[in-house]
Amino acid sequence: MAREATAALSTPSGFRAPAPLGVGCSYPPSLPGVIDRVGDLVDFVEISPDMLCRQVETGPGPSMTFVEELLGPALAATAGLPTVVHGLELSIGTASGWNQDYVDLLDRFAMLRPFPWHSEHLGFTMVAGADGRPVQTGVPLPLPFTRQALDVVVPRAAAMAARYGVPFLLENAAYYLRRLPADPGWDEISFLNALTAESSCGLLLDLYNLYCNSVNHHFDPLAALQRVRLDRVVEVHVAGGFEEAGFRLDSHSDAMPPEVREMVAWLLPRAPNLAGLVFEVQEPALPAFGVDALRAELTWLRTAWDRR
Amino acid sequence: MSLDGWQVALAGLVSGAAGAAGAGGGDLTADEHRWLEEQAGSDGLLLTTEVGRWWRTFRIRSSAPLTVAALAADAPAVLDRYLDHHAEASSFFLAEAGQFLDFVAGAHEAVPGPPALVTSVVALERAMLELVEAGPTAPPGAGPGLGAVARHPRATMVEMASPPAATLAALLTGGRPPEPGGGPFWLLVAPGIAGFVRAATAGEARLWQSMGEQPVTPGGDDRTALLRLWAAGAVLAYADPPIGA
Repeated sequence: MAREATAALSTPSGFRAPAPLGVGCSYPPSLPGVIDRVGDLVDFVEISPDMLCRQVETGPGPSMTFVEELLGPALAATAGLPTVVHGLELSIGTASGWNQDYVDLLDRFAMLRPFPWHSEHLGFTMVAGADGRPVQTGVPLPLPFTRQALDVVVPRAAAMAARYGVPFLLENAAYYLRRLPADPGWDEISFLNALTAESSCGLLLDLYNLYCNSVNHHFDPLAALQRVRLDRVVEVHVAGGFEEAGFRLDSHSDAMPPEVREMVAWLLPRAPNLAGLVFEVQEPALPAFGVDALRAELTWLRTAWDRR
Repeated sequence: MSLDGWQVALAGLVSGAAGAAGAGGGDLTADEHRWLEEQAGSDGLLLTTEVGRWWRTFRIRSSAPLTVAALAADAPAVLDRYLDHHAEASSFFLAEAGQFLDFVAGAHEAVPGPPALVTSVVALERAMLELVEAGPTAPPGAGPGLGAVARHPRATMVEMASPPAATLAALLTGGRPPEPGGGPFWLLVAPGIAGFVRAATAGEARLWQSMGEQPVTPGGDDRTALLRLWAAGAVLAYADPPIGA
């Protein structure tokens, strides 16, 4: 299983809010020209370094290395724009150890492109196989809302913040599994609030994920949003998607539904440390969604950001 | 509660591993076992599994598009069979595609359709994936002398039964590949070629086949073909002929 981080695994001294950047979008590695076409509407770009790499066998196990044909265009397309990192492969919630390969990759990326904050998904994407080697789950899976899960994540979040000296954020996940295990009195929001209360970690609040969960697990999204500790919300993701088999999917493939726009409008004046507002569209969906639609969403966000 | 055991059991359920609901060992509480058993077959688990399979399929379609196109109408069934047989996913495009190509290459009896075309295209994409995974290589130096040469371990000669350019163009654009005939035709995949692949001459193919796995000393008639293979990075030269060659 992965080695643990070498940074101190201790409760951090405190949360530091980064300077606001404004409106941003995700960098699509197979469509680098998109950034140029929305450059007048964005203040920053969000990059997933793990999408710029491949896996190589190195003897003890696979490791991640950058693909020059992906890394070079990414750095070129985003040159001159502030860049934040949004990782996919850390697997911060894996009980048996996070993915040190991702940390090593981020170390190398940080030398190439400084970032004012970085983020990851709250959940796990790998487990220990029978032989101890990591086995990927193929899809991000949620954590139970329990003290045990929190105790796994809190020190690691502190380590990730300390390692790069900039705020580290965790993103709330969408999940479809019913009645996730939870400690008495806990739910997703109380878990997120406990996470930020016990660590220096900030929140990357994905409003579309929260909306999906509200539809799929039958709660009021605005009421849930009103319970979130808003002073820890550093970044917001917004998106849209579709419904299938009775579920709202976190496909991030469409324009924001009205409910998500309402959530943005409610949140913006109430989140004092919000530094970035990102429209997120999954790369496979981008060609069908189209750059014009992307520009329309970014324009809406710009207006909302400027009014806040 | 064992968070580790719970995660292992849940990951097994999502991947479809047999007996996963009972995995996780004795660390799980009765409530946790019950929860895992409730998830098995639930709509939430089915959707979670389906999302994972969608991403795996997307990675394969993106990284092995020619093979998927060559499989034509059988592609969905072959992809399903692959996902059923290979529960362990990879988040990495090339790794997932490589596993899929190995599966197709090793399962021809189970793959209906035009096997010659599928065989050729799988070999082509597998060879190209290996080169992409290996990363950039140094360009060849001065040409080989009169000594022995051997195949570069990451170079491949792929035989095709129909004209390669028209065949690959049809596959990429959703058209109907030309009927076999007029061949054989050859494609060289090698690290020194821009884009890693080009058409090969009959002379190059003949020399390539004569090389086998061991170093050989080409005859003078093969000089032109040898220089072309050398420029493509398809052969390695030895300073002196190996003993016995």
